[in-house]
Amino acid sequence: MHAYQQELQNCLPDLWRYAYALCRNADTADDLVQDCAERALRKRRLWRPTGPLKPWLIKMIRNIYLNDLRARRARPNTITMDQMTNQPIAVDALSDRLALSETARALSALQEDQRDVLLLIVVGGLSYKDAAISLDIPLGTLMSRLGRARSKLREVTSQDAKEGVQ
Amino acid sequence: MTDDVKITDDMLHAFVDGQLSDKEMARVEVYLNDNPQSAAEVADWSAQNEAILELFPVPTKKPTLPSNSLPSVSYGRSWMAAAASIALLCVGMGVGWYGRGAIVNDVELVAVLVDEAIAAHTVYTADPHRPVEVAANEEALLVRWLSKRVGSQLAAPDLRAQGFELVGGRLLSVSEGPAAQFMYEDKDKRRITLFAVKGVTARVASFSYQQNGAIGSFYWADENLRYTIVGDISRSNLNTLAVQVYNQLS
Repeated sequence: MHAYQQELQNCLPDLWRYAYALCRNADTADDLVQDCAERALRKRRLWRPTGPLKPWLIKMIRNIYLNDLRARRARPNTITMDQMTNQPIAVDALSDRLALSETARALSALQEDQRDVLLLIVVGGLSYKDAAISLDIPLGTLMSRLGRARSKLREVTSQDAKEGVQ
Repeated sequence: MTDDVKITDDMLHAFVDGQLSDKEMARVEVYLNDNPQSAAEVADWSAQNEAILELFPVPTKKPTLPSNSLPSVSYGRSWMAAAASIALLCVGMGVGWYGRGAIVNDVELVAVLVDEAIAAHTVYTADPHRPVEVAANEEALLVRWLSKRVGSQLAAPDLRAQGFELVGGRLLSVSEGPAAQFMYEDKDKRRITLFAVKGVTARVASFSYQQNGAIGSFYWADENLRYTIVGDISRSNLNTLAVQVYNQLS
């Protein structure tokens, strides 16, 4: 196996996990990783990325995902779980089941650019520098988004905990 | 005065994400020992990281490279090498094109399923003669049959406390495969339907409301099934029913 292929192979588990975090569906994550790996192999013939492969792959899989999302037809107007909790009856009766996904809800409360950064670093496992390159933003912007993401998560989960006590 | 360099927030983040050198790690540790408030914050951030990673598990099967990977031909100038690379490019493009459609986003899938649930609701609740295939007097049979066809154990929730009696159910064919529809009716003959289709969902509980004209719907998912409850009733009543169904099925 070529060194390049080996390197690519080594990145696949992290790539899958990141893909899964984006689309939250195992089959879709499989497809995204497959698609990304194929492109990486094809592009290899034209252009060898400089530096480590993983940030390049993470960036590519993110683009594949976003392009695919844009290509889909317009979504109907649904509301999120958070909006639903404003309704009087709704969610307290569900709290047992939802405890598992408290994190998921907290994540969905984040602004997209903040969630992006958090997923790239925590799930994608990129260094701050590589994550900034992947997102085409300055390092300082990345760090401030990371900071805001984490304090927002803290705020949301401590709020949940308080509500749980009542 | 061992250390005059200020510990910044960025360093605390890098501490949590394991992006500091050993020396910097040690310095941050010393700082955290003296600053309980920062220590609590850092502990929370670490817990967040763990929770996020738990939410998105490592792949159960090891992802592999596509089989039509790099050709072993070198970049020779022979026409055969050129032909081989063109052929490979074509294969690659074909696979890329074909693979495009396979990527279905979960949000999109949910939107499609909710549409299908609403469409089935509209068609069958309006049917005066045969709204269901199997009526409520054969509930056990109905549940057994639909569970078998849908491929996951179903139940017809009891909504009598909310004023809705089971009418019966039917099998539907939707984009994701066989789906079950249970129909209920209140004393004013208003009908609601519960739609269920098999689908391995992420552990993320999504619960969303959608209003299409007079018809409202709630979607949610558990480990095995995706559900939509549909009805031409007030949102709060539908919400109560959704919660009731959710609690009975979980």
